[in-house]
Amino acid sequence: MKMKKRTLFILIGPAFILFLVFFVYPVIRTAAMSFFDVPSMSVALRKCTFNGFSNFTALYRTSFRGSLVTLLKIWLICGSIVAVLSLIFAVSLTSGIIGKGFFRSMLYLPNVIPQLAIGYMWTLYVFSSRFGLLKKFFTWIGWTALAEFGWTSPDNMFISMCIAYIFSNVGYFTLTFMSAIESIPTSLYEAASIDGAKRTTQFFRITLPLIRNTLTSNITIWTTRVCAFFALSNVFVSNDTVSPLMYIYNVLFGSDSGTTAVGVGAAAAVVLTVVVVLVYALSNLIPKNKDVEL
Amino acid sequence: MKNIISILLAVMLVFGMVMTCNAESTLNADIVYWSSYTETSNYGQVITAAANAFMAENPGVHIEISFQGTGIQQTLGPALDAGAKITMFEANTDASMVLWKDYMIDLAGYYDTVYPQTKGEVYGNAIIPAYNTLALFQGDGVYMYFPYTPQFVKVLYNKDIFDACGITEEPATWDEYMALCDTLVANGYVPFTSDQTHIHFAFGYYLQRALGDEDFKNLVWSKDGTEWQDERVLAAAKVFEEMAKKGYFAKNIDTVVSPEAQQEMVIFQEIAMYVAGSWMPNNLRESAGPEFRWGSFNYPVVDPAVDDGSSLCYGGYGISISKTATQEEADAAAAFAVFLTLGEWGDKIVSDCNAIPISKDGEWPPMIAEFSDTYDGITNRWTAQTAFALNNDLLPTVKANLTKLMAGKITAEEFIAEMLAFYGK
Repeated sequence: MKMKKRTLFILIGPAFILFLVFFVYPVIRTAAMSFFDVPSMSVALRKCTFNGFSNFTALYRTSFRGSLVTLLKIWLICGSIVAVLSLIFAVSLTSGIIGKGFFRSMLYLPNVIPQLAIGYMWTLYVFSSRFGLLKKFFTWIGWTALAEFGWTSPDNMFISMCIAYIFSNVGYFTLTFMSAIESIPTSLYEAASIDGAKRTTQFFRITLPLIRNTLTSNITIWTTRVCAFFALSNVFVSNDTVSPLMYIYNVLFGSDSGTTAVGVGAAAAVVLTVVVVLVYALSNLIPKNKDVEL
Repeated sequence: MKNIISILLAVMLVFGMVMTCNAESTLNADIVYWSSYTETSNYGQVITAAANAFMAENPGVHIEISFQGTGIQQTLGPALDAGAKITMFEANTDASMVLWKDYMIDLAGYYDTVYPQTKGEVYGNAIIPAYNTLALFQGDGVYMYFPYTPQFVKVLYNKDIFDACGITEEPATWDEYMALCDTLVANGYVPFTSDQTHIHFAFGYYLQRALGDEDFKNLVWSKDGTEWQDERVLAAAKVFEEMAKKGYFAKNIDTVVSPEAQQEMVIFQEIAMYVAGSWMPNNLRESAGPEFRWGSFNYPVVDPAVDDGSSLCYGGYGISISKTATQEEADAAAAFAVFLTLGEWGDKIVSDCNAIPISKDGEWPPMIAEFSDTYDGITNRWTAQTAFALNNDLLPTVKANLTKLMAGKITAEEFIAEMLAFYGK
């Protein structure tokens, strides 16, 4: 049955309008603001002064470059660890372990806790140099060096922030991997076992190739999440924990003293958008697993 | 004769009632008030109650309060730009006078008005003089807000520890300050602590005194880091390096996060001082308990210095009236602002929120009653959280490196080198 054009427009219309209002317009507006000297975020552009690429050159002299490096480090370091841990947990939980439902819920729980709460939980109750869980645990087992380790000192703040971030993300990715692994026919593993393949061989020869599509889509999801990295940056305060979004927030909305640099913040947002688009484009180059149908 | 007197009294009574009714009906407006507090906070509850009381006294006035919380800095600007009906709004004046000055009306006429809460004086003379001066200064010669909830940054201390060490005089000079620290250390106490949220207060205050406001602001807004190579900045860093070496800062100063350090100060009572905002005692009232005795003194004069001690880092909140308000709305909004901040409700804010009164003869909350001489001799005002707070981009780097300097992890020279690295040097 051929759908009338009018019906098509009516069905797509609301979504299209929302897309224009809440996505296209802000993107165009932000891009435009990046070329103006803007006194406040919502002021009409006709009241602003055009300043060419000045905001972009000013950006070069700020901590924005450092924040991009921070983002890259989070993406790479935390991403690798999250991927490895998630796979280990996913494989363990799909291997017929008792209490699978309980462990799955426990692992997923941090994902539903707001990042800000996660941040304070770790800084105040786990990493605290006086009362922290780690301090007490390492003192109890006699590892003095680790008990005295300054988890929240400026030099170690990035590591601590990464630990908290990994903690809050492992559960989600474990579930996605579990879902992919559970869709692999058990007959493949049974055949491999009969042929004498060990567990590790089965993982690398059966599991990993067959969850490649999930792995690829998880890279995209992970990239999206990392680009939106914000709340933990606000809790784990140091010079190497400022994420690009944190930087943009700081200069867009200003300090307690009201100083803003809206145009520079918009320029940073434009650069970040370009980076995200490039990352998506690159992730699409990863070949899909088209030769296997489960 | 009695009848005549009765008739006269009755006429006077009726006349008085009519006059009263006329006084009540003078104000007639619908006001929308954007507050930077939350509805459930102590402030929010007092503001709501005050609005209800004001509406009861002025039946022609209706006040709608929109509690925005601290997020007002993100929401008010777009709302004003979009032309939303906002008659009056309240925010930290450091922020509001930078961000929304163009939306405020000149309040000079209201500053010259006598209100029932101003005890026969014009409003401008009824408030703490330092805040009259500040409002004029921040408004470039124009009154643009009604100040309230004054705040300042100074050295807060535990009086019991000072007493235990036999310290009776508060230090005015840096030498006296250091001698006091020696005494505290000799008696087994830790002179200072701080956390990574507030760590720039102490060093920032030192630079305010040593460099003066203009040079300090130039340092904060340095384009290429040249100002960080100023010998005076290195000298200031060396002072703090020396203090770290002498054990003047808490051993865990590099690992405590807010509000942990403040809690440690009031719970363990081993740390004597904290360079902090006047709001800290109220924040810690539960942990400190009613027995805790707070003392305070203005940041000592350093040597060499540009400032002689007559400057103070202070600020507060202010209520402004929007340019979109009609004359009737503005009159009602001004009357409500004065009603809320002075008189009965001004006292209520002080008692319920442990806030500092804006009234020049207001009674300070018992917890910080001894802070009431803070503004004595003050003729100049600096940014409430020191000029470091002006540059949000630089601040994380300042805080991280100051933390390391005060923890004794880096030297003064390394501190300067780390700051220069921010500029790619």
